[in-house]
Amino acid sequence: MPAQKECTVYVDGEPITGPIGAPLIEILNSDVIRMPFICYHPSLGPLQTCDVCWVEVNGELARGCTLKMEEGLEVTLSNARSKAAQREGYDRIIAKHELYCTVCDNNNGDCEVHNRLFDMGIDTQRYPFQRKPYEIDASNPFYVYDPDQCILCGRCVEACQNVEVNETLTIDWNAEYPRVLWDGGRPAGESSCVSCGHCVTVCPCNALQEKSMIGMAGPFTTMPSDVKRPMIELVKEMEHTTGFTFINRLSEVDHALRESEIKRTKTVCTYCGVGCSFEIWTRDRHILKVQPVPDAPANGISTCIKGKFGWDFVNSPERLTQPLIRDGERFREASWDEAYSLIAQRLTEIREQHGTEAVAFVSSSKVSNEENYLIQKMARQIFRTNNIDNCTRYCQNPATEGLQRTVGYGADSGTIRDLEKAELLIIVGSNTADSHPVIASKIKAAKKLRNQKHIVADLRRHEMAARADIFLKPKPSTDLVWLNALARYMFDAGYADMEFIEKNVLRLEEFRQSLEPYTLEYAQQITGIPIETLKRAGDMIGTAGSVCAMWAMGVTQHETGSDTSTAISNLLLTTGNFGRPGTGGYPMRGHNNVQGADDFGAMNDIFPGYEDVTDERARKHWAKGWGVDDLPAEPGYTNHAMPAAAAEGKLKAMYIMGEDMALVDSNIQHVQQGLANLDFLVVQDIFFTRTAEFADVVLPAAPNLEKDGTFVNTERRIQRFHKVFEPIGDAKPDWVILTELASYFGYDWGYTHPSQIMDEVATLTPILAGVSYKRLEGWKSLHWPVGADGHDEPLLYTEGFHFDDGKARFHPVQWHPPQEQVDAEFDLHLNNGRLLEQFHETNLTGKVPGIVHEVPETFVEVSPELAEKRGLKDGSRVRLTSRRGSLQVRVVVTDRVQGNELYMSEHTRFNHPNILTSDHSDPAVDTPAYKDLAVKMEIISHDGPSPLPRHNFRYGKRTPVEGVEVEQKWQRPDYIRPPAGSPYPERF
Amino acid sequence: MAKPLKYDVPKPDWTVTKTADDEMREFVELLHQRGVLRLANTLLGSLPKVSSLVMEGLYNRSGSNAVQNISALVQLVANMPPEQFRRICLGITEGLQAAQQTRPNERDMEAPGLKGAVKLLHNDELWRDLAPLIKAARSFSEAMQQSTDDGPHAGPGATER
Ligand code: SF4
Ligand code: SF4
Ligand code: SF4
Ligand code: FES
Repeated sequence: MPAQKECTVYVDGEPITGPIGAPLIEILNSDVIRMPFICYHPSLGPLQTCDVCWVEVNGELARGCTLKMEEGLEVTLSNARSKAAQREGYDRIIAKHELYCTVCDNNNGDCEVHNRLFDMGIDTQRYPFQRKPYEIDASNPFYVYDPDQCILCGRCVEACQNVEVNETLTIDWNAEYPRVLWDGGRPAGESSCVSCGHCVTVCPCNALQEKSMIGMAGPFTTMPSDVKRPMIELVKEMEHTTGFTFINRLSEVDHALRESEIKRTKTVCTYCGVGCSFEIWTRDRHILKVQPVPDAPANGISTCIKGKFGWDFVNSPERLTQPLIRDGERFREASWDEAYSLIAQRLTEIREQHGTEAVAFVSSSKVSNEENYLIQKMARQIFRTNNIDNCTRYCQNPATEGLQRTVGYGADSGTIRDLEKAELLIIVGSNTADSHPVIASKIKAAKKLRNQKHIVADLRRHEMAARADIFLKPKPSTDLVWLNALARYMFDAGYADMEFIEKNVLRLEEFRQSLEPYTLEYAQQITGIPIETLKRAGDMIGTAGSVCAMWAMGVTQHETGSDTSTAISNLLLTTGNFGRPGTGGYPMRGHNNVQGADDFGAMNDIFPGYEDVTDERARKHWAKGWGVDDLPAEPGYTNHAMPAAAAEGKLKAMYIMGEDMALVDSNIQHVQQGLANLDFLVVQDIFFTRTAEFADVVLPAAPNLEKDGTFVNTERRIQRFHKVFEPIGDAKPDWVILTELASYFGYDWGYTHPSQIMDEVATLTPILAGVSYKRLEGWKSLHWPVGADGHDEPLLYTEGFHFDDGKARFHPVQWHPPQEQVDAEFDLHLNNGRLLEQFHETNLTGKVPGIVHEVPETFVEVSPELAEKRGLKDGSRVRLTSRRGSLQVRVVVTDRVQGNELYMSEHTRFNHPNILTSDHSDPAVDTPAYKDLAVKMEIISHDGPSPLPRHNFRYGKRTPVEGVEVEQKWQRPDYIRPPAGSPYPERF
Repeated sequence: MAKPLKYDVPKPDWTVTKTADDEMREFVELLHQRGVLRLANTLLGSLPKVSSLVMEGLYNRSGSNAVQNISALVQLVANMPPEQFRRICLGITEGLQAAQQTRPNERDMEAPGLKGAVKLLHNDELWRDLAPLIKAARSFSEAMQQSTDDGPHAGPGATER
């Protein structure tokens, strides 16, 4: 990166040096606060609402937060006029905000209103505080808005409109008493608010606050409100005579007391693959709040509802705290020693009796990299089997395959910054706003603020589709056709980047020949997308300066998942969209550590770092590293194949860590039969899952907040998370369990901290050679491949592709219809996937009351046309039957789906759509074809309560505006610029 | 064939926030770490001796004066309107600050006699020496006269409305 040019500005005559164009306020305040501010926030920029940052420039007063570093700029901060204007601004703030810091749950060192009182040395209240004619709004399950504390800084509005881009919040500056409005005036809990928490995170005071903070943060804040209120009144009365000095000292004492009690720990989100990191604030085991910070590398100040508010599961009374052993018709509690001994004895017996191939291990995208490494090490080193796999198989492997075939690495080509930078995004089968909400926010912002273009292809008209420039609605399972057709169109219309191709890509002729059948006419016929729309999309792709393609389960969970992923990559190669900033292929990794589970080798055919088990050199290398003679050369069972092998009696024992495969694999009756047929099953988890019902031994594990480790997010970004609490009861971190268990097999691994495991990985794995805990301290992160010197690669392929010759390859792919087809009997297509609020099979989010309040149960979305034809409405109960099974579910009628296509979320432990899904899978990687699914629908009852409550955000009406729109305040006839006094300081 | 079995997790024996027991244990530990317990124990151990020392201190002329004076001051302060008390405090503070800011030279302070006194009225050095006191008195009286309007709760705009 070129070094930024420096310049010198003069502040009160003193020279200050910094990069040209940087906000002056940040340069000045990076050390001690010198320019007072309240509304300014580094992630939001100057909002110009608070009026406390006045300075003189060229003899004129200006808001200091708007100034940028420029050579020779002269600024006066401290003369009488600036000071008077700053003071007037602050006086107006506390006319709207009652100062009761000692009994306020926000007095934790980060309250800007409190802090400025000190920095500015203010000790008297010049305008009296006055209440506003509004009630507190506590209708959202997670946060509270108190209009009496709101200083109208507009940070929340800016965050909601332009960072989260949910466009719920506005301020009506022309109202007599302006306030923050949800959907223009709805209760927060009945609005379009998605509870992402951005507004709460950036609020500079306690006007917007997490409910989990209230009454919990300070030693004095626990007081009941009928004691607190009279106390506040008494103190306010005293301040008439004492000024703020005495009470401020008291609040400083209070703050010091809190410092000793409140713990802040950096962690990484346990849910999706965005990999948001944040500080988690705790007192004892109580989670006060999740506080994202601008330094967090993937997300900055952003989170979604799950990362911000979805942590109650950690303290759920349903947590497993003791090992359990099946004893006749029940489970009984056991000691760790008894559980380990039994596991060691039974697995050894089975291995001796049936061979190593009779034992299999399943790892998890929820556990750390180090734990994924250890379980595959256990399988390979101790059991000499490649029967180890993880749930990437269920979702991500087709994308990995498609990229490995064409460009080399099976991972995102760049970072979220590249997605933001691209001129055009092609989003295929990814409901990003629900599944990867923070990435959705970043790209929605790129669209709103910088006019990025979006082409969205999906069966459903979800939020990303509704906001798209072009929405392609193909028939189910036909994406490959329009992708190939667009690739052909690039050549036909002269958009193909021939220079790039000739220099970088092999197999051009073969590829062009393979595209022969894929005319636009053919694509229209198969996909149903009109030719004109395809052309518009093609022209947009062909003329864009930089293109990224994003895709997710809508592509991968089909029989053609790998081929469709390949077709996406082919299209990007055709247009030269790899290796430059703002280009590349981006499969959206589903769970927080899907990428890491693969990278660290928990797969049936690779060692850590993607070295093939069939490669003799690699086997020798790893055998030497682990001190064994040889390792097996045959790939093991995939996890999708394991239940079938168990049902057939080939597999006798399984060890399943952190995966509820009895619910999340496809065709679960079949899976459950397989599990029931095992001779011995160990389940290691934090809850008693459906899979645990089949276990012989259940081991209580610890979630990420109870251990140290690292995760890899969708950008290949390795991030460190830290232990917040000790494990509950007798539960243990998975790496401890695996290490202790290994010793019962006679292997003394001797790890006492996960950093030692990472050190071992780094010495053995070339693409992770430079990874160490030292290099991951604080907010630091690394994108693999990481050289031994610590050099990482945020953007891949800048120097060629990951093949020996450095060239990419076109990989021709042909479309064929899926085996599972709708017919006269099974006449409807059932799509299935995620909703924003819940996660996976709800084992975690189902323990969060606020989330359950938003989405209490799963439901099936039915189109208005179909509902009318069948006489269905919201709340009708139907039976869905596939060729495998049947379930009952309630209906929501919505135009998110069309015609005979249905959609059902996977978030349930009962009536799971996997009762219906098939055993069909992508032949290249064995990923189940969850989304190739035909069903029939019978009505059980026409009437019933709607499964999606009316207060859910999907029924809200967004109010998009440009931002805070402070000009409207300035245009009020009664707005008077400081330092002159304001007639209505308590109002705006 | 493993039959699927249910399992109900027993009621947890841990809590999210501390129990009274935890708080008490921590409290006692902290009292110990900070030396408070040691001090208290020592005090208790030597209570008879310490009490008699305290009583000796109080049961004499100056001790009794101090107790009575403190009670009088408390009564006075309790009966005084807070604005007035604040003004007195402000006055004293400002008076002291003014006195501190004007530092006289160190000099012998002998009685001047009547003639000397008249002469002294024209003596610049003396006026310099007296300045701190006079300034203190002036500041005190200004503070005492200050209108309550200038105190908290009155600022620009507050009266314009
Ligand atoms: S969507 Fe809701 S929680 Fe998120 S910023 Fe907007 S109002 Fe706040
Ligand atoms: S609620 Fe919004 S406008 Fe009010 S103080 Fe908080 S961030 Fe500012
Ligand atoms: S679930 Fe995903 S988007 Fe939401 S906070 Fe966690 S990592 Fe971020
Ligand atoms: S910080 Fe400049 S107006 Fe608020």
